[in-house]
Amino acid sequence: MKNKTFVIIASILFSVGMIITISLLAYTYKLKDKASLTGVISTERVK
Amino acid sequence: MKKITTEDFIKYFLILFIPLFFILLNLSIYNGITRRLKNPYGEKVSAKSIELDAYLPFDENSRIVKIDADEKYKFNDGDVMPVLDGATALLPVYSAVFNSMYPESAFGFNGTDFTKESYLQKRNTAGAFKAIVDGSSDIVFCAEPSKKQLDFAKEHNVELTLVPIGYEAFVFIVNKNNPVDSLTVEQVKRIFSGEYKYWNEAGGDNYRISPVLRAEGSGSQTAMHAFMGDRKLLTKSNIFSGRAIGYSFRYYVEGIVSDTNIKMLALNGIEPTKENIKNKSYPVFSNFYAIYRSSDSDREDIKKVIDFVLSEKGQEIVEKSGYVGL
Repeated sequence: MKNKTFVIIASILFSVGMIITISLLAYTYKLKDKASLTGVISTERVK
Repeated sequence: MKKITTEDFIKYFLILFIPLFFILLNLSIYNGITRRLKNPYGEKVSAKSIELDAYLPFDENSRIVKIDADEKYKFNDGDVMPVLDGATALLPVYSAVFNSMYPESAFGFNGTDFTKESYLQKRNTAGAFKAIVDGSSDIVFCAEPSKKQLDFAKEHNVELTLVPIGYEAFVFIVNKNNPVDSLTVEQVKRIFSGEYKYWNEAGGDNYRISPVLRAEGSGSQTAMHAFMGDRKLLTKSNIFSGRAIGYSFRYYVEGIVSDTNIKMLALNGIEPTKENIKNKSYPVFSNFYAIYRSSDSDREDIKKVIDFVLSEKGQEIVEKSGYVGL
């Protein structure tokens, strides 16, 4: 694989991954204000 | 066939590794944090807390307690009647009082909410409190008002009379998988003042404590301030990680416990059962009230409602609605 092709594919994959992660974090942060007492307690996942 | 070089292998590996890394990262964020805040029980819990349809007066299928008031307590068409309002959790009580005393013509429901003309309203604690101050409601049924709400009334030169009509346990709730079943009052205070950071300090496992606070002005938050006394209550919830602990009134919690993963904790070893509240062995409980403007204390219609709620039949409504009478 040519270096140029590799850099382009890797950059696209990395950028898409970063965009999705940042969006998920932003969405999660927004949910913070709406989180309900029962929701937080009911869904906690600790073993 | 072209031989794959080590350099090519690393490139292909990275191209596969990058999306895999982001998929795993995002799944971890979603499962660890987002899901917790998204509240998959939200709709079910909301439905239970605002299921207006289920608690309407004059409805054959209503879940309210139906007790016929004595003739002396009944209102007739054309009488001056007080507008009843209050907290969501107390709707079963004041809707049943309305059903016992008021004529059907005093009630209006448009399918989703009470009509403006209805003498029965449900504006929740904060809304009902504003309504009694501005005169839109005449008697509100709710937990003890917060200092802010009392100050608000004072600013508007409204003095309020609080008549205790029953009481209810103030309970602390955790996930049902939390190994802790009981805490002492002192331990709870240490948790909510921030002195305890990990559950193992309170007899639990080695997870961080995630204290969940309620909105200022809500009945639960006002009761929590009273519970803490001189101790300073945390100012922020920690909702992102750890084992959570929250608080509310027993009746509200009991209605949702069966459908979720929540359990109520015993306090000082005493379970918050109705019997333990009634014999006052459960250590934390608070009154709930019928509140009216003191300037209306000579209004016969208001006196009639208060007298009925405090009467044997009125207290039967309180008890049969799931609360504890006086």
